[in-house]
Amino acid sequence: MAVVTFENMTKYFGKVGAVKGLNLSINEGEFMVLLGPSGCGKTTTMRLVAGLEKATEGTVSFNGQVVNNVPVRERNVSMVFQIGSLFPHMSVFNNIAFPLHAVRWPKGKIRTRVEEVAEQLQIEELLTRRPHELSGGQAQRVALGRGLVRKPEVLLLDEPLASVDAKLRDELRVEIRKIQEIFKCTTIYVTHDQVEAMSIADRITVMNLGELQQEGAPDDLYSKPSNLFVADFVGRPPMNLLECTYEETSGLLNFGAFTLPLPEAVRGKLSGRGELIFGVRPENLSIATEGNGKNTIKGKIYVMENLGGETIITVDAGEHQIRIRTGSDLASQIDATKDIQIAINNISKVHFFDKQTKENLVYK
Amino acid sequence: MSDIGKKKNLLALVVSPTPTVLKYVVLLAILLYVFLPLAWLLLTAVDTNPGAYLKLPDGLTFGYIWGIITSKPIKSGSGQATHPIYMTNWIVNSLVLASVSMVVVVICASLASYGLSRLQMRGKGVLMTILLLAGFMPATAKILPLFRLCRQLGILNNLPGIGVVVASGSMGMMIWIMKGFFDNIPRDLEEQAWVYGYSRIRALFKVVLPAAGPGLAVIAFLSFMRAWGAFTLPLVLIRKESLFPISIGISSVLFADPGELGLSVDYGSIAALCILYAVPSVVIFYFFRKHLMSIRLTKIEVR
Amino acid sequence: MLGGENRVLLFCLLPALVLVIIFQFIPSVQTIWYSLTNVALLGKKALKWDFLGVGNYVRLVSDRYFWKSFSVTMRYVAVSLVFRFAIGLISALFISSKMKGRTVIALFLLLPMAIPGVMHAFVWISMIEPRAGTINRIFRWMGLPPQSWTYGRITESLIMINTWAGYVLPMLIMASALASIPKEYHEAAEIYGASAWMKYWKVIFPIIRMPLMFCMIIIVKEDMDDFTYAYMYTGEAPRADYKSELLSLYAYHKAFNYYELGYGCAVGVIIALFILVLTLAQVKAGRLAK
Repeated sequence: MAVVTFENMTKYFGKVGAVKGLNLSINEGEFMVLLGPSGCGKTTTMRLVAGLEKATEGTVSFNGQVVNNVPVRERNVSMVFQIGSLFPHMSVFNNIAFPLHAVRWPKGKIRTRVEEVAEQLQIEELLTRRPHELSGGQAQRVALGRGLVRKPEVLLLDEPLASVDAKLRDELRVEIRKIQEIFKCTTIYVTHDQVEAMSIADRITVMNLGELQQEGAPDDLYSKPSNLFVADFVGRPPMNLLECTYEETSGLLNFGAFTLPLPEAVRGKLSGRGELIFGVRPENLSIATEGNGKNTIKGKIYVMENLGGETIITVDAGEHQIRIRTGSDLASQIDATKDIQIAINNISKVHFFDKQTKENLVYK
Repeated sequence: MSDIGKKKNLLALVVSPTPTVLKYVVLLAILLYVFLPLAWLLLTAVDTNPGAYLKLPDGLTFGYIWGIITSKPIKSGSGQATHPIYMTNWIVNSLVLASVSMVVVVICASLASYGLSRLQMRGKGVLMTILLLAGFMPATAKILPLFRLCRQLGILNNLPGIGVVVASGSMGMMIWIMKGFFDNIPRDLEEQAWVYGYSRIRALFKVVLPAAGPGLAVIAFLSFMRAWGAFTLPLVLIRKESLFPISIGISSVLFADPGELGLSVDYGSIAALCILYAVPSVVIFYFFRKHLMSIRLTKIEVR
Repeated sequence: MLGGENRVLLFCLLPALVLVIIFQFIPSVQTIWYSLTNVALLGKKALKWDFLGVGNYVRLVSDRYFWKSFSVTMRYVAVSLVFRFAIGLISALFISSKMKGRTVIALFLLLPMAIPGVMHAFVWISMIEPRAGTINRIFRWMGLPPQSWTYGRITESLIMINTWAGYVLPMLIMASALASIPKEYHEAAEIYGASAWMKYWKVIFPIIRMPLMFCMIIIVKEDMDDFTYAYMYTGEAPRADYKSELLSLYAYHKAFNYYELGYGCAVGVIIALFILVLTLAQVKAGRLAK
């Protein structure tokens, strides 16, 4: 079980930079999720760990030893693919035993180990079946069994739930996490689904266009996004991001259709800044019962989406569209035809981003 | 836990060749295996003093090729009375044979496959199977009675007639291929033509056939190539020397005396002829290789 | 069912159907029919012949030349299979790999299939010529005794030519089968520690074992009926030692040299039976795959 370190890791495919100067360290036994949209470099990063791609520049290390030139089959890395890729002509037992056959374990030892793993994964009764006889969830567990049977340095999971039914996905992701906890394997999990990432990761690394955007615990990414991309990507529905201008003399943020006073606490950090992007999460907003127009935003309701327990209200305020998340009971009492006032619940939980650099000016 | 990147034993590297070296040796062996006979062909065709073995030319000459073009005769060797052989005749005969075969195939197969494609009848599958399997005996078994049959029909030593026979050999497969092309042309195309007043025949010619053009090209060239290289059928059905196609012609000068393997053969001329002989075949093959290969591969699955 | 439109379409089938029936179906049936008679190609028996029932076949059983031809053919087919398949497979592996120049090599390796069959036998004269032919020259260079490829070893020579021309088809079949394997299987095998040997033997080949098997059956079906090379190196009459006398050539000689059409057809039917058995195996294997 290894500590995985990337130093300035770069991978170009021809002229296309898939990964650019990645610096990251993953701790022993940690469940690290690489999160980002398609093409952000997360899969390439993972394949660089496996050795299926060779770095153009920079290094990948396991426990301090550089493994750039170690061939794939010698790295002792395990990978679970999107389609499982269990060998179709072999029984479940032989699939799981495959890595052990490769290093020539004696038959008795293989049998013991495979049955041990099968028990931990609760798939003992599947050992004689063929992959095509398994359900999606069972196949994933077998694939994990194959991955963990020989105690790999790193376990890699490449969007393993992408082709699984939505309902099953929630159950399976928790299962994967639980299994990882049993085996305590350093794990890299790749996904584009931020709900998945938030749910099971120890730490998340957000990537975009080959570059690391932010890495940290899910909570940190959620409450302290270090740039606009992370703020927008993490959280559903996404954070409201509104363009405004800071008028230092009056201490007001000018949004065009309305203004808001700048919170005292951040006044120092924002001095000298002109154009900003203001960020506030939908659950941090509510419909005000009384508003005085100075600390609230006036707007007209565009649409109310009742999701059952909660309702997402989209409000038009001038050229801005703002989303609010609120309980459905409260929402049902609102008259959608009248103008309403939006209030910010917790003023310390708002964000300010530089319009040019996109960086979070308050939490760096 | 594991040693990552163990250093290989240097001695082991020296004693046994690495997999990569062995790989290239094997590849080289295969390439040589393919290349050497062909190298001889190319060199012999321009060698002033050719032999039945690989050697560098004593002198270069284009005389052989020139001889073919200008219809110079070559002498047949071996003990028997020598008589001049005009290889140009062979070329002409092959052209006639292959062209007739091609035309027959294109007309009959495209008609038949059009019919099969548009036919809506319960026994359609049966008909297709009949066409494919009608010649159910292996080729050499069939030619024995075919000789008698063709003699009775009077088409022995008749190049166009034999072209027809050759055409019949691949008819099933050509229909099968062409039907695929027609199936891909939606009925709507024809129906539109009908709506505008075209009769079925005119619609066929003006709309459907042009759309099936690529398919027609494929079966035309395939059948030409097949007839161009045909050996067994012409061997049995053509007994008159002046009517030999190239394949039989080459064979005829090779072993007048089997044990000697035709040592007294004019290798230069035959080699030059072979190159000319191969040209249409190679050109067609490489030009159509994507089609041809997919056809061969599907033929496997069907058969 | 036989509406006006269908009538027209059926007429379209007519020319092809007529040709196929006359020149393919009838001869096929005749082969079987003649094999039961002693019809001759020329002479008296061409017009007045007797029905022999299985007479020809009985005669085959005690015909030692038939059995010589049979054993030559079996050896030819078996050894050709091994080499055609082996070279085809190795070539397929090369052209399916990521090797540089593999497109050019692939195009080159297609050559024997692109040139007409008669040429194969012609160009190979330069290889098997006993005094200065290429193979014997290589043998001498390697210190091996030169062989009599044109006499005693004529069967081996035929096998070499057949392999030279015949590796292309298995190469194509297997290259296409290899290409159909998703790269995830390759990657998984590598990641989980398999050496190249183990990967191919335990993962890749088992996955494509259906096409591989079909390939082998097709090769054998083709080779059973091989004629051209054997004829070109033998001529109108069999060699004294019968070492080049493939079954199809034996049938041909019987019919056209000895004029015994009926007997020749019987040999032809024997060949057909083998091919029938192989085709049945092919169909059964195909059903098993589903």
